[in-house]
This record gives sequence, structure tokens and C-alpha cells, in this order.
Amino acid sequence: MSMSEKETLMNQLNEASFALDEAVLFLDTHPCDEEALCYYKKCAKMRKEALKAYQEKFEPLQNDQVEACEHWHWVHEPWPWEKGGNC
Amino acid sequence: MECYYARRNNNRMYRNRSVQMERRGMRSGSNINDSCLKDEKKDCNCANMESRCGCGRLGNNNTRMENSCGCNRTENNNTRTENGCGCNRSGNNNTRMENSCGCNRSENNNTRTENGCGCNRSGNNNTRTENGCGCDRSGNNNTRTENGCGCNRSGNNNTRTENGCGCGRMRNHCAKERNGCGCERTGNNCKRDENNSNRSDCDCNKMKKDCDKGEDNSCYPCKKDEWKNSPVGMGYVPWQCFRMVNDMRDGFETGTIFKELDKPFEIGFCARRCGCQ
Repeated sequence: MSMSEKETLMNQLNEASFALDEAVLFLDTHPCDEEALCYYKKCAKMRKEALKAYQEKFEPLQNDQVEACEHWHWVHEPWPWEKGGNC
Repeated sequence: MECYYARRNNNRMYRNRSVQMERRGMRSGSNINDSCLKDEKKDCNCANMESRCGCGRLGNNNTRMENSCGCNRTENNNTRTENGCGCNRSGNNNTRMENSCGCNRSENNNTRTENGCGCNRSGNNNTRTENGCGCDRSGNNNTRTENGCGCNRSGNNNTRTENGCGCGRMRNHCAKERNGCGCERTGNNCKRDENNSNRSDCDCNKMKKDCDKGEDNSCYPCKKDEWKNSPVGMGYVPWQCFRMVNDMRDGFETGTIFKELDKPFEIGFCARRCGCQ
């Protein structure tokens, strides 16, 4: 798998996650705003899809997404500060 | 059979009258007033002749406690159709003559504009439930609409004050979560005249396209003159509307999804550091 595809999927995930955070902050002070709620739902859905797409093709990003049938792969993936750790 | 008058006078005119009375099935040859005590209109010729008949009628909703056809009624659903009872009403709109019908009322919260009883009704939608207005109804008629009584209104456009109408509104941004004041409507029926906010919709997103451009200052509560009622000596932060939203990529790059909040430093130390100057 090429790095560019990995990078692309990670960027999509970051963008959706950031937009979601912004929507959440806005809703904290505007809990009844229907447009904001609609935007939040859209962002949440996009983030979920981006996360699923990345984890299916590359490594799990959350420790509850690890498919540990025989071995705990989580520990072998790059840590965030390591090369290839996406930070 | 000849009537009393015909026997007395042997006058053709009276004889003819008797014949006419017989033809109508009316009693003749006896005191008309006696027979009029009964609810037998055809015998008494008492149709709408209240003074003669005593108005002792039992009919549709015309149970009366009259002295002399003054129509003192004590029911609630007094749908009336009489002409001569003193409650001169026409059709379903219950327009009353105040003096004749006893509709002289002066309650506190019932601003009225009617000609008759003071309960301004038009059409079928103005059923009311106030105690003092004479709109004390039970059954199916206890539905109040915007045009009815009970909300301290002036004029015809249902301008209401918050306290008087039970318009328990929540915070500004929860514009649609209101109990009354006509804000339970969806669509285009939420017309209000609050302070300076003429709205065509019940929520804050009036004329969204203009709000998105940031050009519509009447996008309540983002309009400018909302500060005029704010006490001095306090700090305020203008209320943000959900508008002018960036796409996700631009939002991620600029650090905010709201264009209004994208305020880069263009002068000074921070601008020099980031290379803006």
C-alpha cells in the first residue's frame, strides 16, 4: 500500500474529526440549533466511515478495534512518536 | 265555528279573521293569553310574540328563566336563534346586544373588541375558555387559538407580552421551544412582532442565505440592536449563529470551520512570526 493513500485516508479522518470537534463545541453553547445538529450528524457519519476505511486497510487506530485472535498486534504497530506513527 | 268577535259584532271583517284563525289551526272564541301560556305555538300564534306568550319554550337550547321574555339564561352553550328574545344574534357568531343579553362584562385579562358581548370571534375557530369573558365552555369547545381571548393583546395581530400570555419561552437560541405565542407552529405561520424582530419563521435562522453572507443584521439574535437593553458595566460576547461554515478541508487548515472566526493576525509580532508581514 502506498503512503499517499494512507496519508490521504488519515487526512480525511483528521478533517472529519476536527469538524466534529468544532460542531460539538458549538452545540455545547447552542444545544437547540438544528443546523448545527444536522452538521454534527453529518460529520459523525463521515468520521466513522473514514475511520473504518483506514482501519480496514492499515492498522487499527483505537485499541478496541484490534482483531486479536492469536496475537496482540497493537503493540507492534508504530507508536505515535515513531516513524510512520502518523504524528 | 264562529269566533267570539264574530258573534259579538256579526262583522264580516271579524268573521273572516276567525276563518283565517281556523285555517291556521288556531283556537278561537277564547282568551288568547290563556292559551299562550302553553308551549303550543300554533295554537297561540306565539311565534316570536314574546310578550303574549311568556316565552315559556322548551326546545333546542332555549330553556329559559324569563320573567317577561327577557331571556335570562344560565346555560353555557346558549346557541340562540331568536329574534325577539332580546339576544339579537345572527347565525353562529353570537353577536350580542350588550344591554339585552346581559353581556356586560369587565374582566381583567380579556381585552375585547367585539361589538356585542366583547368576545371578538370570527369564523369557527374562536372558541374560548376564559372565565370572565363569558367563554367558559366545557366539552369540545375549549380550544383556544391565536385569535381568541386570554392573551393580553392589542390590536388584531396578536402582539403579546411574555407574562400575560403564558408564552414561556426558553433561551434565545431555543427559539422554537416555546409554549405559546403561536410558536408551536411549523412552516410559515410563526409571525411575531417581538421587540424589533419581525419574523417570518419561528427560529433564529430567518433568511438563512442572508445570514450566511453575514449581511443580515436582523438574524435574531445576531442583530445589532439587541444590545440596547443590556445593562452597562458588563462584558458581553456577541451571540454566534451557525452560519458561514467552511468545508472540512479549509476548516482543518485554518483552524476553524466558521469563517467568521477565521481572524489571522496580520500585523504585529505574531504576524511577523508567521510570515504575514
